[in-house]
Amino acid sequence: MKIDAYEKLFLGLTVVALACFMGALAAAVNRHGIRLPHPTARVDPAALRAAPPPPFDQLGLVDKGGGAYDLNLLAAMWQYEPFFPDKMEAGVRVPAGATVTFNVSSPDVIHGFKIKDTNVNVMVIPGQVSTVTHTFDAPGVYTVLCHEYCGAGHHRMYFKLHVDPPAAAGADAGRAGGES
Amino acid sequence: MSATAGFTLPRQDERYMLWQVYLGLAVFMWGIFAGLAQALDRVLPSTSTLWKLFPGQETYYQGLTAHGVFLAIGFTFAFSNGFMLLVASRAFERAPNRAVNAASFWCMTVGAVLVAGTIVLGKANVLFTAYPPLMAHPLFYLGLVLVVVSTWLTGLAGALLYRAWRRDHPDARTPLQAFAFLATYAMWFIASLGVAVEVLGLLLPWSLGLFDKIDPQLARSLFWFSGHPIVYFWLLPAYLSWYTMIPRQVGGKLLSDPLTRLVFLLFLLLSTPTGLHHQYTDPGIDTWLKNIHLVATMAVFFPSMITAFSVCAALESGGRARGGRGWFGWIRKLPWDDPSVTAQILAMIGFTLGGLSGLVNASYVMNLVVHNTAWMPGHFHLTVGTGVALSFMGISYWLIPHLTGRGLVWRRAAVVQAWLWLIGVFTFSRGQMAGGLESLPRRLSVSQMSYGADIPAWQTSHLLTGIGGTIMFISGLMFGLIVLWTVLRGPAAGRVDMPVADAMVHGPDEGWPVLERWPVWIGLAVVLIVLAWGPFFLTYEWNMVSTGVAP
Ligand code: HEM
Ligand SMILES: [Cu+2]
Ligand SMILES: [Cu+2]
Repeated sequence: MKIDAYEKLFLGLTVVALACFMGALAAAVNRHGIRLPHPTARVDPAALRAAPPPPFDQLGLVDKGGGAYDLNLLAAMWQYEPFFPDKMEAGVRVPAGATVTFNVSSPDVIHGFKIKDTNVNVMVIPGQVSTVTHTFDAPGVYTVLCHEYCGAGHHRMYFKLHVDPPAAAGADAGRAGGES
Repeated sequence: MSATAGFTLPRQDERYMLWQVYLGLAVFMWGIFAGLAQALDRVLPSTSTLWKLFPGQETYYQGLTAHGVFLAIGFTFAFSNGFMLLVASRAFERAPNRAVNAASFWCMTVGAVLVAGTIVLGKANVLFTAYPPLMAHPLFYLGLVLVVVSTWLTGLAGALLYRAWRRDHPDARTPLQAFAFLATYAMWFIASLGVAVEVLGLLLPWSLGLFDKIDPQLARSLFWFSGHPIVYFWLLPAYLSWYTMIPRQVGGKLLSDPLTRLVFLLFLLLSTPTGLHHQYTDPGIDTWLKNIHLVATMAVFFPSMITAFSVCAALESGGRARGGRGWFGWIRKLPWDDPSVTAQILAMIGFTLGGLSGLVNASYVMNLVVHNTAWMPGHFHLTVGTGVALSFMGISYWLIPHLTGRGLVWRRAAVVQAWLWLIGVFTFSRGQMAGGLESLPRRLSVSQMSYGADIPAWQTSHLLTGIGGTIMFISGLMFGLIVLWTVLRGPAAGRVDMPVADAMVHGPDEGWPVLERWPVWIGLAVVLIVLAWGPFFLTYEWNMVSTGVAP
């Protein structure tokens, strides 16, 4: 089969471009440590409410010490429990520099879990536990939102994660938010 | 009647094709009404009742289900079935098996009625992805099955044509357009098995109550087994037109017949081993499996780049044959007054940007930024919503006159219509993509949203989406009126012939004989699928835990 010179050149450049893209991806993964979500645990969605297994027996923020936190959430129609509608704005507070591990699972349908201005982006699929970790260096208010259609109230499903500047972060950081 | 030297396609056979095209265009019109409601929902102040003005949309998500299902599945499949079988019949110079052709039409019609009916009655507010455990009425799933079966029947009709033709021409090369049909429908038949298993094995019996728990993670993977190749099933009929019709329409030459075949075969090979790139963020799937699909996804960029080169070369040869000079002078000489050509060239431009944004989606780490955000609708309104849909509009501008014998009315308006669509979709996608980069979620009623008013970037996004979507709608409405008026009132002597690019730089005889060996290519496609999907399906442990939830 005959391929003309210009076309050969063009296809060669395409291959080079694709190789560059793959190289950039490899660099992002290896040098910057960006990882995709991957399997961590499974859970029976019905048990999440009836007899929640760890870590979902303790919803909300859990201070693990040393700047590490767990945030255990039920993504349910249509809130991230324990942040029920009246607690969505207040959400949760952590000090700047906190490393938060999010454990999220759904007792009903598929939901999403995305934190604006971060690389946290994971599906929440009944039967699976979604676990992602992020270090919040920049203080500010982060919007956490559901980005998968989950029924009639999908557009109401969010909460706010407040990252306090170092000075303001008090000893109460671990207790704030929807936990009670 | 379609006639080329010595061959006449019987009117009755054509009629099934024509009516399948009409059906596709009808659901297109319905779909863009829903689209307008979605676009306006982003700009009008908290009018949570707005979309009730549109038929069958008690809620935003009911309308969005109609939009996704009608446009991504109904319009594309029905149009392709009618158009592609006509092309194959003409290329083989044979009438298709009438019973199979008729069965395809009736399956599509009954399927469309079931799907549309359940959506309008509010029994299927599950969006076109129909992810369980959101549960729809069983008739919704049954309707989807019939729609897919209809594509299988059209594929079968083409395969039967090929068998009969091959008997008479044991050593000849398959006509190029027929070859493209075969590759397209073979690809889709294999690819559709995933969603067939999902619906027939899981969703339908589950919705009928035969068992009550289902595995949402498994269902998603079965869905995306078909869900990525489906985009090439939408696209390849447009590619067929760009490769084998547009060169003729612009008075140019197809660059290479064998390379065109190779491109279609590459899609047959590479379309399906890619689906997990829709599931980069799924918690239940190992990263190394996602990586395999990443590589195949990057590879499938390659045939699209060959296409970009070949199609531009054909356009350039046309422009130069019409007296164009210099680096860019040939562009002005293209027949911009021909709405069929203009619509398809603009579709190519939109598609180029859509394809490039697709590279972003595929790129794994960047997917974490854009997955399930408004970026995605921004991306695929450029690809399927323009590359495919605007091409189908362009094709309609000769296809409808061809099949009805009525001349196209309002040609100027048709040219304007094509430009309006491009302007509209650029505005729309600019808005959606900008919002998406700022984490604006997709599939969401903005007027009812309880958060986000404090994010300025989102407000710009909504505005551009609203304006662009409205322009697209006006363009789509113009298209519908032009087609309708052509059918009802077009001048009677208007029959135009189907464009066939028979002038080529490199003809079919230069191709490797192996290009004709279907068992080799289909076998290879199956091997690649087994390599890419086998590890997932073999290692994945079923997790049937979810009961159905009404949305
Ligand atoms: C008048 C033209 C159109 C307008 C105004 C329009 C508008 C929209 C909007 C605003 C969305 C996003 C909804 C959301 O995420 O909440 C959307 C989604 C979508 N559109 Fe369009 N659209 C148009 C034409 C098309 C065409 C021609 C196609 C395909 C052939 C198409 C296919 C889709 C699909 C598949 C979705 C995703 C549905 C889902 O997320 O379930 N649209 N459209
Ligand atoms: Cu949700
Ligand atoms: Cu949601």
